[in-house]
Amino acid sequence: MNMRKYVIRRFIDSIGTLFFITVFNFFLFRLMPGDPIALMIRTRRFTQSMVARFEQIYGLDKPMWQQFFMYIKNLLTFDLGLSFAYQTEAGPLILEKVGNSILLLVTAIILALTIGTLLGLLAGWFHGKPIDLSLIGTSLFFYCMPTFWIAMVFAASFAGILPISGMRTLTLYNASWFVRLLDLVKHIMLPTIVITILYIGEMLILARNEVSNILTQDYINTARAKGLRPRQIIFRHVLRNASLPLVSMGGISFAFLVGGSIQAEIIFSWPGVGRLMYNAALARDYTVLQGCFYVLSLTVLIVNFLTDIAYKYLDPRVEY
Amino acid sequence: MESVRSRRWLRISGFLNFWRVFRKNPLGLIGVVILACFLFIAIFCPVLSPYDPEATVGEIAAPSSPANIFGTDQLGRDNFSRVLYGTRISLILGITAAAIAVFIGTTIGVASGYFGKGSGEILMRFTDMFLVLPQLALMIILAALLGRSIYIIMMVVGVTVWPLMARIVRSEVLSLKQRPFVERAVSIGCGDFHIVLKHILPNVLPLITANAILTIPWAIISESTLSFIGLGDPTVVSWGSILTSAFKNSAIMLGLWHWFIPPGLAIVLLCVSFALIGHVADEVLNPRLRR
Amino acid sequence: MLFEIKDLQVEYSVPGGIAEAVNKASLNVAEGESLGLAGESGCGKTTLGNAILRILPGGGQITGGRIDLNGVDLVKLREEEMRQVRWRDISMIFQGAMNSFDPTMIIENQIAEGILIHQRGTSKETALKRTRELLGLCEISPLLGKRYPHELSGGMKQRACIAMALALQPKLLIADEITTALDVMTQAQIFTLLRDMRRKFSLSMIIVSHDLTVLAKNCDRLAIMYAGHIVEVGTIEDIFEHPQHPYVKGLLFCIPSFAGDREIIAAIKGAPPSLLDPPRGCPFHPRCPISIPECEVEVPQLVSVNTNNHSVACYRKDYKGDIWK
Repeated sequence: MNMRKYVIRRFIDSIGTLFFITVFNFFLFRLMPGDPIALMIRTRRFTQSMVARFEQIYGLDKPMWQQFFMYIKNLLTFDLGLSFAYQTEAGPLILEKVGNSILLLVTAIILALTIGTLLGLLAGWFHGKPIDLSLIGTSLFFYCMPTFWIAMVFAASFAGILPISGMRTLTLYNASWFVRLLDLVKHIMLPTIVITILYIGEMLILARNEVSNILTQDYINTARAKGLRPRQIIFRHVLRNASLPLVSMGGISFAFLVGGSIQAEIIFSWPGVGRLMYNAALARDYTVLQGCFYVLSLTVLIVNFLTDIAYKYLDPRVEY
Repeated sequence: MESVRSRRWLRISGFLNFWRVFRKNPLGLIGVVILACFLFIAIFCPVLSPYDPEATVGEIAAPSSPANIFGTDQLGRDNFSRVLYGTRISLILGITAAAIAVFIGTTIGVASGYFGKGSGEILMRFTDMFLVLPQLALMIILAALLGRSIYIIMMVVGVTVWPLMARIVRSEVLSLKQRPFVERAVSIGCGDFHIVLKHILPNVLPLITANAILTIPWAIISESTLSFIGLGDPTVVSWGSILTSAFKNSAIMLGLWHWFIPPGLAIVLLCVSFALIGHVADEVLNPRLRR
Repeated sequence: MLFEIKDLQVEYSVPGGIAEAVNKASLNVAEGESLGLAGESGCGKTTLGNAILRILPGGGQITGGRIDLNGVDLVKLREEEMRQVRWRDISMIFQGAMNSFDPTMIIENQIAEGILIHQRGTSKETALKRTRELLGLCEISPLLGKRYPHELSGGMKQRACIAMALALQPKLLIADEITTALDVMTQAQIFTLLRDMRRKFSLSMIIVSHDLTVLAKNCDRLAIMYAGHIVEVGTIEDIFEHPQHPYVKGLLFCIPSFAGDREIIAAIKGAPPSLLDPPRGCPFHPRCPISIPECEVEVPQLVSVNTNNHSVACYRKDYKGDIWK
């Protein structure tokens, strides 16, 4: 199956999943016992204009299916409703933070994949030897740590050395672009490390098992018989084959990675969708919660789509 | 036909085998020992803890001292006692939530795998779509919507973890379906339910057991994360809630390590013990052909 | 003599101890000659092949003997020097053609890789041109070179393996059980191809197989291995018509013949010995119907029988009766 057909089929698939997310997101909030949104609108005090706005968004007196269509229509126009807590439009509120979260997530996943693969390669090459066992042991330990706790420990340890709050140092707002970039890097370091630690562990073990498996394959024997050096064997034959399960798991792991980033955003006050969601949850701001959830799910969907394409590029054997 | 006596002997020798494997795998033994300690603490914490976990016994946010080994929290409660009591919630919640996830996951996985084309495929797509939803975000929303009792937390955690189990079970069932003994059962005319119960389930059980044990750490961590975010049950002592009060009271800034290190370490140790046991169980129950 | 192995010793470290996979094995191959290496599974023939190229897996080691190629002892070479020898002077075709190719690279790139590794100055286009010539020689359309391994059938993959092995026109080609996984028709095609290549490039070959009929059709001489020892060497006629070793006689007796009276085929009772704890003396004596006390003392050496080219390692080689009736 060639690439183009594959991309098209996966794209259609993703549209289907997108529909599922949309439906799920809607009914999640409306079918809960007590219909919290309706309840909240009725019991809290809002200004006239806001009540009118709510009517426009939710159409609470209309039948449920009509409300659903209104919801979809709103989504298409990026109308994510009104925030109960902030009493402003939820849409812009969420969308301005999306970029920050994506920055964090993308950095984290790239780091996790590359470091995880390389360490996994190391572990697999020296299968059974001390370095392999210690790498696995460390991964296991880190895998059993809640991200927020790792974040707390790192924050406490590096408090004076690296910034542990926010995304930028405000006083640098008119410094040169290089200084501001450096500042951003300093701010992003701790949250990224904290998120990736867990996933490096997972990737490492995946890569290691795959590498151990690959090294017993006949084509590695053939490569040795041809006279290739170990380094050539690794980089030409092992790496590509070993990265396959990582890429395929990468998509699924990304959903978990988002969870980690929410925690990192909370501890490090990173102004992203995760922290917004945290505050919204505590304030029972359902509109914002709904919008954030949608945005995050959409991000995971897109990343899954991209990793599927990447997988097909790496492994020619894959059918739809 | 086997006699009753020989069947009993089989069970005993099976148990001995199991024990022998644990002896060969010292890591698994360590896991069992750690878990046993935690179980002990969970059962006997009223006796073991120096104070009532809810009682104010000292100054606010006091540092570590002989009276309060882990210091006190923002209400003057003894952290050590709170950590000990937290064991209960983590164990109960972790195991129950994992059980829920395993149950849902296995049911859907078996159904999806067994029914192949048609309903099976639909179930699988449903499972895969579920995997797109970020778990923590979903848990946050469910907890925010449904309230803050332990039972809800149990359910919430269970409901977000099942897809992974379903996938594993499904692929195993798919490969089992090809095996001769299943084909034979079908050709004899056994009903679906009978085949699933008598042939498929017993063969998937080893895989389920090993993975179920490995799900427990994830459930424990999820529960503590939810507590940390502030959506846990406020009436119970949980390691996550201890950590959240530490965070909210600037324990990080003030370097109050005694406050936030112990609960976190407890989580790690408990999860590591389950992970080790699960790993050994996996090796025992699912022997892989080695080259 | 192009290629000679003298008293080769290969050991494996396994959890249970040290296994003697190849025990004082000696054989030789002349230029243009095809030597068959036969024996049952686990007798050490694949290990021998791997040892020649020095690509033994992790626990394996050559602990004694010489492997002589045109006067150079391969055992004594350093790893970088051995890498020069690999593929250029000696190449190998493996048993699992299914898996001999990296699934993520197209065929012609993998064949060209062999060329580019050894001939530094060569450009990629030249290497690919040569690759396509080789594929054509092996009766594969050059267009198939642009495919991935999973898109080819087993027979095609095996032929591509042959093309790959011949890329640098080696002096010696080792073929390790190359047709075991193929059907009889494809088997015949592959071996016909190999015979053509042999003639064309005046290749010497070592053909490793457990299938005596295949070896009978494609080899000039034959060596039989048992439990890591070479027990008999000779021309095809020598072995098939005048076998000397009890084991070899037993093997040949197992092959039913169309001609002649119906006979009951005797099986050789017992199983090959463990290589971790081999029996003292001749490895076959526990199963041998005519073993004598002398057989348990010392391993018999290869001694000539009649002609120069036929040798056997057995103290009872002069026994003249029917052993396996």
